[in-house]
Amino acid sequence: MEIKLTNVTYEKLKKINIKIVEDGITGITGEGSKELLKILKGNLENKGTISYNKEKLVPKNIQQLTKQISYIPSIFINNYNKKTIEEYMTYMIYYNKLNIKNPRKKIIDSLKIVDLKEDYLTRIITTLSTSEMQKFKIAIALITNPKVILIEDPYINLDINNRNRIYRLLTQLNEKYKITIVIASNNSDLLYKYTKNIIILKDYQLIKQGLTKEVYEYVDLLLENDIELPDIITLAYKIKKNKDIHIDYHRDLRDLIKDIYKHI
Amino acid sequence: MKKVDNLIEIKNLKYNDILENINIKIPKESFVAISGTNTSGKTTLIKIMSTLIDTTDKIMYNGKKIEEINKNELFKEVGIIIPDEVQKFENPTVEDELFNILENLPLEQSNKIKEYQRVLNLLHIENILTDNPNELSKLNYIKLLLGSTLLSNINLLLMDNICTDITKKERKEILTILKKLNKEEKITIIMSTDSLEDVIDTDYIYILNKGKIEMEGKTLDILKQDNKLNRIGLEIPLMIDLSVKLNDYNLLNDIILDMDRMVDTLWK
Repeated sequence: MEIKLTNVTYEKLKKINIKIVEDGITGITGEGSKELLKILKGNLENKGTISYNKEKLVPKNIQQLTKQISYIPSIFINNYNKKTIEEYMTYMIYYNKLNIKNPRKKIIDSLKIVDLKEDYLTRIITTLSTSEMQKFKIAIALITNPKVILIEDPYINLDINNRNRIYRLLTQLNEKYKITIVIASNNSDLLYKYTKNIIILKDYQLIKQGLTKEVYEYVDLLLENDIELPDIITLAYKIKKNKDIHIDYHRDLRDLIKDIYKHI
Repeated sequence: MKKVDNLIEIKNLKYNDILENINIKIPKESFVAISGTNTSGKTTLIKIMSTLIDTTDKIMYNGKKIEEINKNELFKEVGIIIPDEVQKFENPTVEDELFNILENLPLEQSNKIKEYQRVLNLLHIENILTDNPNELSKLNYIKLLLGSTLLSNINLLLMDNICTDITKKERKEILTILKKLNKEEKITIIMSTDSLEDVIDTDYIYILNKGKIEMEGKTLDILKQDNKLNRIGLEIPLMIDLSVKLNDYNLLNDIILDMDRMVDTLWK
């Protein structure tokens, strides 16, 4: 599902014009990124237009459209005060009147997608590790068969191995299940590595959007706006600027080293 | 031969299922890092060192068994900053919060003023003095906690995960302050973190994995062991990773942390 914001103004966000595409994970970063992520869930109180697959959001269709969007906050709040994973997810299905014929099967399937086996059903939520919790949150989001998943800081507090696992999961959800994935994060190194598209905000206004790899090469523009750059970009930039060497920007350190080697 | 006193010594500590066979020596005036991934036990270790968690007699503080030391006296010398333990401030402004602590110090008024100024200068917090302490950004929140502990004239600072959720510039600022506290104010610092970007200025590092000490040594020596660290799940800072790899390619003979210096060295 494609999401388009035209001249959206809401609270501190001013005249935001952005497009979220289906292809690839999109990152939103900068002051206002969390607020912008929340607006993508469907908001009628703003000025401007929000469209989902070219359908403009209006009071008539907001319920139906927002049902297809799942929002995952950075901190899990046990809304239903349930102890185990199964209790929580079962109650959630019941409470939200989701018409699911076989809730248990749906829950097991959801957990399976995030690589949590059936024995996780009886796990007590407060005993989950950080990475298990992250997977659990995504499993909850998948229950409603969303077309869009919005996540705050998915990689926070995860070590490399778990980060890679979550990234592979999100990529699979996007590529195989065709779910639009949008994340909010202020870590430029992670965004450079784990997103295909990026939307960069500064002081609640749009600075640049586009393919992550391309946007982060607008180094002068980003520096002018005091926007944090991935370290590997800053390094390549210094090589170019300090020594006037025609080195390329690379995502992977090994490629950068090969390039350095060629130019020594 | 110079005798180096250890401020903290831990011998063969075991704690529930979380920590096992922990042996640690923290020399006075050192800056030590304890790193590991989330489930490594490092937060528990910091809590044990700060006596927030009680254990049996495996910990020596300044040569004495820690449970033989009066807790109130101990907390006067030891600053503890564990941001995840959510703390609500009682006073309306940052300034009030700091004054509150100053009031209770056994100092002459003129010395209190000196102390206050000293802390303001070290932390550059003039611009947040009138802010609500419960509405501070992460950086300023950490600075306030640092300010509070510094006023009490501590000689040991224990911290857990203070650099999460802040920008690179902010992290640099905090680490510069810590370096100053260690080198100029002679405060012993033990910092627990899951990001190796935070540990570059430390003298010594313990790497925990699944409750055990898997690696320990001089920080830069340990940080060069990229394969081992990666297997544990830790990411090496870019400049160290780059330096090590360039050393392998014979393009460099050193570990260089500063980007400009690296560029100058490669293309003299």
